[in-house]
Order: sequence, then C-alpha cells, then structure tokens
Amino acid sequence: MNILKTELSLKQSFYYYKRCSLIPIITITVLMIGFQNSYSFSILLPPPSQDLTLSIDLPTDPFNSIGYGTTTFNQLAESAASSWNAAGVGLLPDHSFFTKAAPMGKDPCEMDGVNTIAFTTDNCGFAWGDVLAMTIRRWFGPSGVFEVDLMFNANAHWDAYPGPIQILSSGLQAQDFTRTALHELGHAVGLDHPDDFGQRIPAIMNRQSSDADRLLQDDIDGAHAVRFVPVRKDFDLFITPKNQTISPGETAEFTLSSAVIKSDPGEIDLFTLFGDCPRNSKCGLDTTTINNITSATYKVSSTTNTPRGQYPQRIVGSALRVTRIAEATIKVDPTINSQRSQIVVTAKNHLGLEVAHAKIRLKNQLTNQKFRGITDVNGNYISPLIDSADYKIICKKPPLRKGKTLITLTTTSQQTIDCLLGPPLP
Amino acid sequence: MKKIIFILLLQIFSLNLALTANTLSLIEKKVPQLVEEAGLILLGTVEHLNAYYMKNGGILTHVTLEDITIIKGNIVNASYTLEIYGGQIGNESFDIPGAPTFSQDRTYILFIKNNKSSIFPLVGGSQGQFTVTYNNEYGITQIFNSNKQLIIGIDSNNNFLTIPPPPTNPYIPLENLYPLTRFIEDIETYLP
Repeated sequence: MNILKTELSLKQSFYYYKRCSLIPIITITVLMIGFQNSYSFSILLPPPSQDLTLSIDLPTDPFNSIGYGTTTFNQLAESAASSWNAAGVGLLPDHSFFTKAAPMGKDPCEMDGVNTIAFTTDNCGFAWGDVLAMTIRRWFGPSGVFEVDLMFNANAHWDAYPGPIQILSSGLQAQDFTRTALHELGHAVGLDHPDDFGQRIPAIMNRQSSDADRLLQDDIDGAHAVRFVPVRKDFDLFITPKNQTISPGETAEFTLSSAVIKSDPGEIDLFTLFGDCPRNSKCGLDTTTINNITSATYKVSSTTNTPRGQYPQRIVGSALRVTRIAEATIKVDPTINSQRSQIVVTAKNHLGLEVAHAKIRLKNQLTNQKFRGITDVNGNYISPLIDSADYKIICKKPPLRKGKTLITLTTTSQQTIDCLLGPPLP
Repeated sequence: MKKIIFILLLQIFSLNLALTANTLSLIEKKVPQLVEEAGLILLGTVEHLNAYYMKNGGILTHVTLEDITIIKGNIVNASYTLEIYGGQIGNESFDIPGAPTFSQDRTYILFIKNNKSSIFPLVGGSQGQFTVTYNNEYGITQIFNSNKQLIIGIDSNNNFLTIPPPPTNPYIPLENLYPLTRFIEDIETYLP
C-alpha cells in the first residue's frame, strides 16, 4: 500500500513536473515556429564566377583533437571543403567547386589570384581584436568573385570536436576549427549570415555559432541557390620571366601568354593594377587582348629617379567569367652587374622558311628560370634582358614537330639562333 | 529529489542555451563589456566614405562621421574618421562578410576600440555597431543592432533585448518602444 501510495505520489509529481516542463517547451516551440520564416539562407553578392582552387597553407603536424582523435588542421580544412563539394554549389550543383592545389605559401592579404587558407598572427597589419577568422572576397566591376582568402586567428585556442561547444577548464571556449572552416568556406561559396537579417534557423552559416557541427539543410539549400554555374572555358595566364633586376633608367620587359584549360575562351582582356608601377616609372602593355596563339609585352620603364626596391607586378587576364592573375617581380637595383643580353630566336620549318606564331621557351640551365614567348610575323622572338648562362630553347608549332637547341649567352650583345621545327607528323 | 533533478535539467538546458550564444567568428560581448572595452562611444552620421589602397594592395575605407554626440571618451575635432578594412576603388572591390558596413547619411551609435590599429575598430566586430532610424508611425528614434534586429531594452543578464524586424514583426508593440534617449541613458548607467 505504502508502495502504491509512493508510486502514485511519484506519478503525480512526475505529471506535475511534466505539465510544468511542457509549458516552456510549448512556448519555445511556438516561438521557434514563429521565428522560422519563409525566407532563410542569405546570399552574398556578387556570387563566385569560377571554381576555387585552394592553397591550404595550414599546419600538417598531427595533434590530438578533443573529438576527432589525431588529425591536422590541413586535413580538417580539406574535409570542410569536401563537405561543401558533397552538398554541391550553384544552380546546377557543382560537386567539384573546391579543388586543392599544392600549398603556395602566398600572403592571404594580397590579391594574387591564389585562394589561400592560413593561420596568421595579425590581420593584414591590423590586430585581430575580437575576430577569430575571416574571409576576404575579391572581384572586379560587375564580374563575380574570383579570389577568396581565408585567415584564422593564430592566437585563438583551436581544437576540433563534434557536438556542443566546449569550454576549457581555463574558462575559455575551445574553438572548433571544423565548423569555423565550414562557415568561412560558406562565405567563399557565396553565402552570408542568415541571422544577420533577424531570422532564426539552424545553420552553420549563422553568425552565432551553435551545436551545429556540419552543414545543415539551410546551408545546402543556400549553396544551391547561389547564382553560380561552373565555367566550361578556362585558361591559365603566364608571365615570363618571373623576376627581373634592372638598374634605374633601364626597362624591364615581360611576356604574357596563355594556355587553354578545358576549352578555348577566345579573347582574353588584359589590364594592370593601379599601384603596381614603381614610382617615377612608366608601365604599360603593348596590347590589351591576347588569345591562345598571341602574346603581349608588358614594359616597366624606370628612370634614374625610380627608387631602388622590389616591386610585385600583377597582370589580370579576364575572359568570359574567368579571371586569372599572372605575377612577376621587378627589382630596381643600381648595383647590379649588368652581364645581361637578349637572345633572338628565329623559328624555321624543315624547308628553311620562317614560322610565325610559334611558341618559344628559353630555360636557364643553371637556375631553371623559364622565359616564354611567341614568334612575330617574321618568325622572330626577342627575349627580355637575361643573365649570361646556358639556355635550352624549345620551339613548337603544331602540326610541325617541336625543335630544340642550345645557346650559351656570354656577351653583353644580342645573340641570334635558329630553332628548327621538324616536318609534320605523318 | 525529482524537483532537484528537474532544476538541474533546467540549469543544464539554460547553460546549453548560453553556450550556443558564442559567435563563430567573433567573441560575443554583453552590454557592460561593450561599454567597458570601448574607448569611445558616439552617436554620429556618416558624412562621406573614402577608399584608399594599402601598401599590400588591400583597400581601406575611411568613414567620416559628423553631427557627433559623445557618450564615452573624447574627440578633438567636430568630425571623427573610422578606418575600415575593405572597400571599392574603381572597378576593384573586396569585402569581408560579416564586417561592419556603413552607408552615407545614415546615423550610427558606435562602440569604438583600437581605431586604425584593429581590423574591425568596433568592440566585438559588428556587435559594436547600431543603426539609428526615425520611426514616423510612433514619432520616436529607434535603434537596430548589426543583425538588423530592433533593440527593445537590456535584460537582467546584461544582453540587449531584441525583436526581429519586419516582415517577421510587422508592428512594434507599444510596450516595446525603446527610444534613443532611453538607449543612451541605459548605456550611461554602465559608465564608470
């Protein structure tokens, strides 16, 4: 009997507390439903214009994470990028939106056409302050975003774990790198914070972090709503040489050429960036468009008043929705030993006739520095001023067989050489 | 015993809610922290925005504020310039999603910290930015946080109380009127 009474009493108190606990639960549910709107994810403008190849410059040293065992920050970032790929990006979901390149060690603060992911102790010269991570998106005019750089605060306590956010014994929050990387890569995909607009919906893209440790439906819906379609025509932009040293008053000359990736995008518009030209110098391109078979020359004409120093030069190539940047460095140094000259390469076919628009490549046999160019209508290619050394020369003009030759540049006067192309392949 | 368990469960539930309030890319601040950490708190209107190139090719935007009312700190001139990372020059643009953004002729209350040395010179990133708008219907000036939520007061945990903006909330209940003057008075109670 006592037992029964006790059971009854327990049941009463259970239902009492159940009733009590139902009130806040119902209230919260009603509020949650009330706050969930017909609109949810938020899209950033402009959207990305091209797939993003990531240079993940994160530590590859293994560490024991709170929740994922032994891992590396590099692996965690790759895994986050794979999650977005699995979800798909764009109207026709692209499952290879993010690809991985070998780490290039570039500065994420610089616009260089490389999508860098890195820990940094400061934030482009500023203190991090209260910021844990951020994404920089770059674009020109009406085109879409062509470069994103992700920076993580190296001063924060990073770890990795699933589930609820964890507080360390020190009282500090253990920052889960995975969900932060998912969030920042979401900005690269083209998503904003849905909770910036007063909405309350579970999402990794919320500004406010939560127990969400993976992409949720709202994030995936958002990724599918981004106005992005994978590019079908793509190209690479090359500049040669990559480095040049000149004395004040001399002119440095660079050659720009392109190579087709996927299929030919046709004409590529070229432009330089404001601020790259050294002070008291003139910089310019001889043409503002190139294609698969033509090249452009970029000249930096210094004066005796050009300050000594190192100047990065960036040429932007843009075709259809694709933007590529070619980078070179010019060093102005009055103390250089000017043992340099030019090589004139004349491409000839097996009949001894000059060949126009042949691709020429010069390779310094000592330093492996390469110079590329295309022969003019007379079959000639003139290299920029280059160091005295042995050079291997390769000429190509399909369907003719490629030619090879060697030259030793020893004097300070211009040297000429023929590069003989073989008869067409049968 | 059940009561204790119930209370414990409630506490765990509340703790869980508190933990989920941490931000992903920014550390969340309560009102006293916003006030304490800010070297300068002001009310001002954006007169103009000017973008400049940095040495590393980045873009900086100078936000010049005028018609200033100081709530904390001091300034020498009648105008104040805030330096924000990101912006647009010619056809070149870069932005940082989640970073504070400013519009010309708009009025803000700003909790400023480390201007010209921090990437986001506001306390807690955009948490230190509030937009002031005039509500014609009620004839009062209202304040919205950077999440575009209407501020309706400060709760007992020293967090700003907010309600979602329209269209979620097409009207503002009268009891939720929280004019600019009260906002400033409440902020001033946290001043040392």
